[in-house]
Amino acid sequence: MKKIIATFIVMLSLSMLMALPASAAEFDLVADGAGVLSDEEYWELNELAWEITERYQCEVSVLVIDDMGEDDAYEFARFVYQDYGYGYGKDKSGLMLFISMAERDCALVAHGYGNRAFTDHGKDALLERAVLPLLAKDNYYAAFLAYYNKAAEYLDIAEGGAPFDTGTDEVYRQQAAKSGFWVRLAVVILVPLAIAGLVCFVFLRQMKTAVPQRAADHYIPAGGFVLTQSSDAFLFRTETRTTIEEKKSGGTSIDSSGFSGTRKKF
Amino acid sequence: MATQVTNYQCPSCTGPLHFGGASGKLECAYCGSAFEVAVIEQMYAGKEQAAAAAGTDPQWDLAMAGEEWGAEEAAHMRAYTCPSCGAQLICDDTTAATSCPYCNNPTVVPGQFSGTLRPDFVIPFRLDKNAAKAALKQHYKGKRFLPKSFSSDNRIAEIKGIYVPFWLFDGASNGDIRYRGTISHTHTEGNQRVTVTEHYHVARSGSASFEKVPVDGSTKMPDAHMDAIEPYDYSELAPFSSAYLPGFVADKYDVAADTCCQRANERIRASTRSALAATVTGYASLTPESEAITIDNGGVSYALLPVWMLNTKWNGKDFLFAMNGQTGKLIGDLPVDWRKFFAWFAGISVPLMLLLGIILF
Repeated sequence: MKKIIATFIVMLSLSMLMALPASAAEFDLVADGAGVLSDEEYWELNELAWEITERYQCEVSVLVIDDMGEDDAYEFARFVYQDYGYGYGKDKSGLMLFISMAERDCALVAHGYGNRAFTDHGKDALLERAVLPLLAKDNYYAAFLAYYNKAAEYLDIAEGGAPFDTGTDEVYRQQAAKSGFWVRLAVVILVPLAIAGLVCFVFLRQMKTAVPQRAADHYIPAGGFVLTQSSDAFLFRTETRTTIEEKKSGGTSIDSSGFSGTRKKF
Repeated sequence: MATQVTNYQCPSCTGPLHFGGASGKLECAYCGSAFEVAVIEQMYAGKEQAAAAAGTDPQWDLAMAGEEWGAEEAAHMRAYTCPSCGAQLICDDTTAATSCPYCNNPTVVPGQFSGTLRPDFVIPFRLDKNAAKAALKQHYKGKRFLPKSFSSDNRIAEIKGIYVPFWLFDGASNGDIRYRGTISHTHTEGNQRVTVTEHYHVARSGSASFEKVPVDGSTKMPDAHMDAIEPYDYSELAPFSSAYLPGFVADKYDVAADTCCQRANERIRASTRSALAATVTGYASLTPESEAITIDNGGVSYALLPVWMLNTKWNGKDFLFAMNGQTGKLIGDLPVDWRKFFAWFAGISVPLMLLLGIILF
């Protein structure tokens, strides 16, 4: 059965790449198109996925494929989610963990209620703290198990009214406070040292006045310098682009198609 | 070797004449008379010729002295007879004007400035010894790291007005410098910061003329000190006359012009480079890619320029100051009181740390 689903996912991926019309299809919430799970692990995870999905009415899925080609992991996951019937209920609520083995790319996309339950910070924290360390060790079963457990935890928090975010993440707050402390301490120490050093350097320079002359500007008479050639020729133009890091202040950034997400390498 | 020296004597009382910087005349300290330089020059013209003639007849046998003095030392020594008191004056071979240590009469050695050694110009002293002392006191002011005992305890060990031999180089330079210039613009597209850099090939050529770039021709004078008291006002350059020398020390050059021209060329090259670079504006970055600066050497003049040299001793160390005898610009390195340095450093940094600590924590 697992092999059939895997084949279906590969076909699904190919059909997406070939822009074939998509059809709504029912399939298990854990789709292992790369064969990274044993049958037993596969069924166990699917059972857990359905249990969480039903309990929180938010579909939590995993999709693993061999190779996504030239595509971007987030775009690929969003496309599959949208065109192949993922999502729970009318607003297609859900969260999908997508993995492409060849590129070792993964993405986490959310839709509907998933956008509220899984904020940008929540998705990053889920991936970076729970999933990526295990994926990096090629421990896929443990990674997916951690993913489901963490997803259930975040959904539980969201049910309480406020989703897991920068304001409610104690680890984040501690890290921010810790890094902020060191930055402030560095400012408190280094800025006064730099100012004092600059002032003392100026005073020290006043003590040494016997300095050799390097130029003879005083001895050019008025009109003594004549510019005979002056040309400025344009050669070429270069362009560099840098992505502006968004300052995370919490919440979820939702794109025009109603998705939010993040992508990482493992 | 010249053995005859001249001191200008007052035609009224035969007292020694000194050049007065303020009056521009030769003054007698005894009877108060003052005489135009030209008048005394004319009067002494015959005497100088006689002195020069006498200078061809050596009275000092250095070969005999070789038993007591090394050959190298003897080669750089000269002996003269003071015309006022008859004492023998031992000087080095570059001394051209000095004072007799016995009768303190200012003395000029005419042979040192005869023939091709004769300076073309002289800038007479405008400022006197008192001005130099006052300038030194002023130099101490506002120096926060100066040891307190340096200004209070130390005394000027020696102060000398010296006519320092300078070579004045005239010349012109032609420069051609190519640069790579860049101009950058930054704008934002979506979540990306886009920096567009335009690269330009910038070429500048030009010529500059230089008048009387000074390089001191005396090994006794530290180059840094002589450079640092520049510039002199050349409008006061006067044709050389030994009548300006009484009352001051004067040396003839001991570094030839062709040796000094290297320093003049370096300075001319640096000024040409900066003059061309100053015409390039509007670029965010400018990197020289090639440079060709040629110097057309012009004439070289030999001039004596006035310098007050002040020596002080403090804690067993000598400190040397130089003052431009014309403009009054005084320079000289001062000792640093490192306790004051660290006190200032801590005095600035600690309160700032406390203030920032209160604000940020």
